[in-house]
Amino acid sequence: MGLDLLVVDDSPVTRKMVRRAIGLCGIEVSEVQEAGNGAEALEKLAAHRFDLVLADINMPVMNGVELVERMARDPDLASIPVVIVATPMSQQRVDHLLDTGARAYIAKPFRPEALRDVLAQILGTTGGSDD
Amino acid sequence: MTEPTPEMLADLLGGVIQDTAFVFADPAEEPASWEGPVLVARIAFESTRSGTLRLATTMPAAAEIAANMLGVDPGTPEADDQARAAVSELLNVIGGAFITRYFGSEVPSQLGLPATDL
Amino acid sequence: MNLVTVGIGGLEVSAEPTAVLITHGLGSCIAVIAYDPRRKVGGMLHFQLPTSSLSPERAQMSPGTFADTGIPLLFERMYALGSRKGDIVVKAAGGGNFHNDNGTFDIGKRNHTMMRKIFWKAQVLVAAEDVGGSRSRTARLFLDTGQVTIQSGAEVAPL
Repeated sequence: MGLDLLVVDDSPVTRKMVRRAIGLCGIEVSEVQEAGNGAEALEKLAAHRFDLVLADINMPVMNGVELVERMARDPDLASIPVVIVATPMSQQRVDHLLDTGARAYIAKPFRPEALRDVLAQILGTTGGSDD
Repeated sequence: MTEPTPEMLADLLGGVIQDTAFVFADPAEEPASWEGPVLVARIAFESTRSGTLRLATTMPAAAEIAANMLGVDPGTPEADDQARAAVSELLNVIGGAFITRYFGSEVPSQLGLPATDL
Repeated sequence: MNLVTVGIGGLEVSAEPTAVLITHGLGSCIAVIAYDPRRKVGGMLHFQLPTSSLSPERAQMSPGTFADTGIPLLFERMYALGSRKGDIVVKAAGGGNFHNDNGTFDIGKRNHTMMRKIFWKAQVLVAAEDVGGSRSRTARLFLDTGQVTIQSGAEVAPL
């Protein structure tokens, strides 16, 4: 049974890039859905059980920091791993996100290999390569 | 904070556009003289100082950037459709690199949302 | 052991279990190492420059010189030995920068960028890489096991 992933970013280009990178990671994926901001993400999360969320920070309506905080406070969502994929930011902000509940942070421009490594670590998968 | 010079900004742009969009960019002696519409993206930043970064390019260059980011052939409808969004996202990444380089990662900084005008 | 040397701008593939593909002097050049563990087929490319667009005649004579002609050819040669894209494990080494910063662009980084562009478009992930810095490298691929080692000076490490 494959995993269901939610990609949250206000840039349609980034959402496509993250989707493409997910496809290269060698993990079994059932479904990838997209959201353009934190509020849309919460709507999707209320309607469907996801195994992992990949989220940007700088978004309109509701940014990624608030999304992480809201998910952490919600007993139904707190256990879903969140990986931040965002432009470089202050260490203080990275620390706050990781303390609040994000499991990892990948800086943009991201490499698909970095996503593969983070997903393998979080989801316990072997990724797409034999070493 | 070191005052950003044209050379520093060119170096930053060159690095980010190479890493993000696989495009090689070199500083030019003279400003470009473009024919046709020019796409301008802008993003505000706020830290110990505030300002706006602007990135200007032609639509064909924007479409090439989109094609490279999406991993598709240039000239495809998908690349053309996403040209503005690609430049917008490119400037977003440049903005992040800019505030990290000039303000450091220990200083709270904020980026606005990118916008484009044609 | 059957040592097969890949020269600068060279490309070799092999299905010989005793073969070891080796390339020396990886400065700004990049070695792309491909191995199919299912069929025990391997290949190595040692390219010097990112794009062939300004040198089509040279690309014709020596496609391995450029990333954009050499990498597709490496994969074609692997397919000719029975490999399939999804089974091929890709690693890379090299792309160093040996010049002082005097305004000239970093060819090693450009080689790496072009390689990444090609693999992103082809939907191929790089399993491991040892790139950048200012060390000269030697890469080896052992066909019997698929092991890749990178040597720099006296130091040899698995990739």
